[in-house]
Amino acid sequence: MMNTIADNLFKKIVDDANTAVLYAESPVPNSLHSKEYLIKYANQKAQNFFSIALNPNQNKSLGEIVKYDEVLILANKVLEAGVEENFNIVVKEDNNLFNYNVRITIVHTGLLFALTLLKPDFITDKESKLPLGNLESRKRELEISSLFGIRVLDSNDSIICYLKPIFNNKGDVEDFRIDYINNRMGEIANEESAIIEGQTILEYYPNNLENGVLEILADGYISGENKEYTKEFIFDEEVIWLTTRAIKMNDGLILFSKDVTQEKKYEEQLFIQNRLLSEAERVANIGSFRWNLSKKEVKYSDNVYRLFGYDPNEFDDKYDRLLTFLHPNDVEKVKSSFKEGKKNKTKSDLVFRVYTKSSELRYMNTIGEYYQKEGNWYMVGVIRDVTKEIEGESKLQIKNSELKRTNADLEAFNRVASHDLQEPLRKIQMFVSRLDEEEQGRLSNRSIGYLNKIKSSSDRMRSLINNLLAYSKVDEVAEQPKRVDLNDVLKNVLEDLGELINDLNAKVDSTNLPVVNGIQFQLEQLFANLIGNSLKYVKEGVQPNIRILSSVVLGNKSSEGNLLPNINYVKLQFIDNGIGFEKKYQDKIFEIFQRLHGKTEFSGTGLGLSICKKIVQSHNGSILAKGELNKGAEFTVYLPTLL
Amino acid sequence: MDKLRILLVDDDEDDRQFFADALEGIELNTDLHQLENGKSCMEYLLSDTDNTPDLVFLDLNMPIMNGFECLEAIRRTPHLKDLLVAIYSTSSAERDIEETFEKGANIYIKKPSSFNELKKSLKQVVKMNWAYHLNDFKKENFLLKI
Repeated sequence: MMNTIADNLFKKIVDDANTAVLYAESPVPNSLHSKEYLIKYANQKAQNFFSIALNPNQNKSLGEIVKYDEVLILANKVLEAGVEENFNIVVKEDNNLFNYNVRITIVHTGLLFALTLLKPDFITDKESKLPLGNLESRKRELEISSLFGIRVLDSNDSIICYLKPIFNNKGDVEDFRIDYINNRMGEIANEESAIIEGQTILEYYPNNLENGVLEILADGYISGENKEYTKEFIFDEEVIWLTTRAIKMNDGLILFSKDVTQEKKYEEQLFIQNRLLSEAERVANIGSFRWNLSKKEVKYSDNVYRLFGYDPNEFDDKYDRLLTFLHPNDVEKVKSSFKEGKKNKTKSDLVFRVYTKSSELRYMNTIGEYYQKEGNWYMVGVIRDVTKEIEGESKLQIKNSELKRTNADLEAFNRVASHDLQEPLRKIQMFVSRLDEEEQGRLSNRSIGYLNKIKSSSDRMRSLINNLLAYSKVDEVAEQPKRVDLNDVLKNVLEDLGELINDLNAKVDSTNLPVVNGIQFQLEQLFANLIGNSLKYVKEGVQPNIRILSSVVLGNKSSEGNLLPNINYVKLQFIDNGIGFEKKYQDKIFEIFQRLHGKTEFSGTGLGLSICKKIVQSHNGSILAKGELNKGAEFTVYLPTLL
Repeated sequence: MDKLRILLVDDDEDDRQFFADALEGIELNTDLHQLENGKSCMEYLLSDTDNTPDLVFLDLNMPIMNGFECLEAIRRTPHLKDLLVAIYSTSSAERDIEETFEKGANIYIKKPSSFNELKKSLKQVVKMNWAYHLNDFKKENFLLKI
C-alpha cells in the first residue's frame, strides 16, 4: 500500500517540494552504462536551477546542462561504485552564494539528482507554487518506479505524509490515520516511519486536538481548500516549528511540513532586538534613520516621529519632509552639511533646531555615517534631542558670568574694605590721638569721656572691617593645605590670648590633639574665635573653664553634621561653662552679623562664628553649636582625618 | 653732619601734615620735601640730580600717577635705581606688599592710626637709614615690613 501511495503522491510532490529533482537515463536499453545520459525529467525547481526548459521532443544530455564539474565527477563516482552519494556544493548566483545539498541515487538505468537549498530560499519556494504548464504531459510519460518515488520523497527536505480521515457517527472528521510518512519525520522525532504509520494523528501527537491542527485539517478535507499553518511541536523536549501545507488528494490529505524552527528563532530574536532597540531609543530620547541618497528616501525608527512630536509613521518618509521641521535659520546649515557629507562621505555631526508638531523649539543632534550597498549610497544615523544639554549649557554660562561678576564685586569689596573704609577711620583715630596728646589736662572730664567713646567706637569699627575682610577672604587662600598639628595651633592661640586668660583667671584644658590637613593660620583663627568666644561670654562669679576634647568618628556613624559616609572625621569639642545661649539659636548663631547679646553687655562684631563656619567648610568639615542658657555652650567641629 | 633729605609723596594733605609733625616731633636732623603724586615726584627728581633725596616715602593710592607706577619709574631711571624707597600706605593687603617689593621697594610702612605710633615708626626708619647712609651700604636691598 505504501508504495502505491508513494507513486500517486509523486507527481504532486515533486513540483510542490522545495527540492530540485532531475532524472537522467542511459539511452542504452537495460544498461546503466553509457557515454551520455539524457534528461528524462526535471521538475520546475530543477529547470530553474539548471536553466533548462524541457521540450518533450528534445532529449538534452546531462553533460549539456550540468555546469558544475563537481556534480558530474560525483555522478561518475556513483556510477562506478554503485552507491548513493550525498554532498554539499556552493553555487554562485547573481553574486550571491548558495549552499546546496546534492543527493545522487541510481534508479533503474538512470541517475536521480535531488538538490536541496540548505538555507531556505523563500523566493524559489514561491515559484514552486506556479502553475505547472506543459510539463504535466511529460511527467505522465515518465515511468516512475515505486523506488524512484520513495527516493524522491525521502530526499525531499520536507516532511511529507498522507492522511486518511476517520469519521464519527455523525459523519464529522474526528481524527486522521497516518497512511504514509517519509523518513524526515523520523529524523526529527527520532522514530522509524514504520512505527508512525498506522497511528492516528491524535494517537501520535495528542496535542493536535488542542493546538487546532485537527480542526484545520478536517476543514481542509471537508472544504477541499488548501490549508497552511505554522505550529509549535515538542519532540523529545525539543521545540520544533513546522509550517505545513495540506492539500486534499483523492480521499485523503497530503501534508508538506517544513521545519522552520531556525527561522522562528531568528524571527523571535529579531523581534526581541527590535523591541529592545525601540525601547532603548525611547528611553534615551534618540531615534535612528536610514537615508537612501539615490532615492531621497528616509526610513525613520518610531522614536524619530516621537522626537518630532508625532505618532510613528504619521508623516511621510521623504527627505524633504525633514526640512520642513527645521528652524528657518538652520535650513541652509543642514542642507550644506548633508551636501558636504554626501560628496565626501565623511561622518557628519550636526546640531540644529526644529519645531515639533506642537510648535515647540527643540535642539537635535544627528550623527550619520555613509556606506555603499549594491551600488546605492546610504546614510545611517542617530538623531538625539539635546535641548536639555544646550539649555543647561547656556544656563551654566549665565551662572558662570554671574559668578565672575560676583567675584569681581567681592574683589571690589575687598579693596574698599581694606583701603577706602580704613582710610577715613584711621584719620579719625589719628586726630583723636593728637587731640588726646595735645589737649591733655585741658579737657573737661565730660570731653575726655566723649573722646574715649570716639576711640572705642572707631576701634570697634576697625575690628569690624578687619573681620569682614577675614570672612570674605576665607575662600581665596592661595596656600595649599598642609599637615597641621592642632596641638601647635592651640599653643599659639593660648599664647596670643594669654593676657586675657590670666585676667579672667580662666582654665583651659585639652586632650592631646591630632594632626589634620589644613591651612595653619585659618585653623588658628578658628581656635582663637572659638576660645575667644568662650572667654567673652563668661558667667559672673564662676571661674571660666574651657575643655577641648578630641576623638575620631566615621562619617556615617554620626547623626549630626551632614558628614560623608565613608570618611573618618576628627571630632573636636569646645565646651565652656559660660552663659550659653538658648537652644533655638543653635543654627542662627553661625549666620553673618548674628548677635545674640547686646553689644553694651559683650563686645563683638557678630562675625566671629561666621568666620569659624566658613573656615570649617573650606576644610570640608562641619561645625555645630549646642547650648543651654546659663549652662554653657558646646561647639563641635568635624574635620576630615588624614588619609 | 648733613641733614637727611626726605621726600614725601602723598596726595592726602592731612597725612602729609601728620608726617611733617611727627618728623618734627622726633627731633632728628632731617629736611622734608613734600609732593602730591607720582607725576610731580618724577618731574621733581628728573629735573635736577641735586634733588635726589636720601629717602623717599611713597604713598600707593594717588591720582594721576600712583605709587606703584612711580616706584617703577624710579627704578627705571639709572641714577635713581639705588634710591631708598619706603612705601607709606594704608593698605595692609598682602598682595600690595608683595607687589611693591617685587617692584623694588626697600621698606613697607603701614600708616598707623595713632600719632605716637607714627612717631615711633618714623624714628625707627629714619634712624636706621641714618646709620645705613653713613655706612654706605647703598646697594643692599633692605626689606622691612612694619
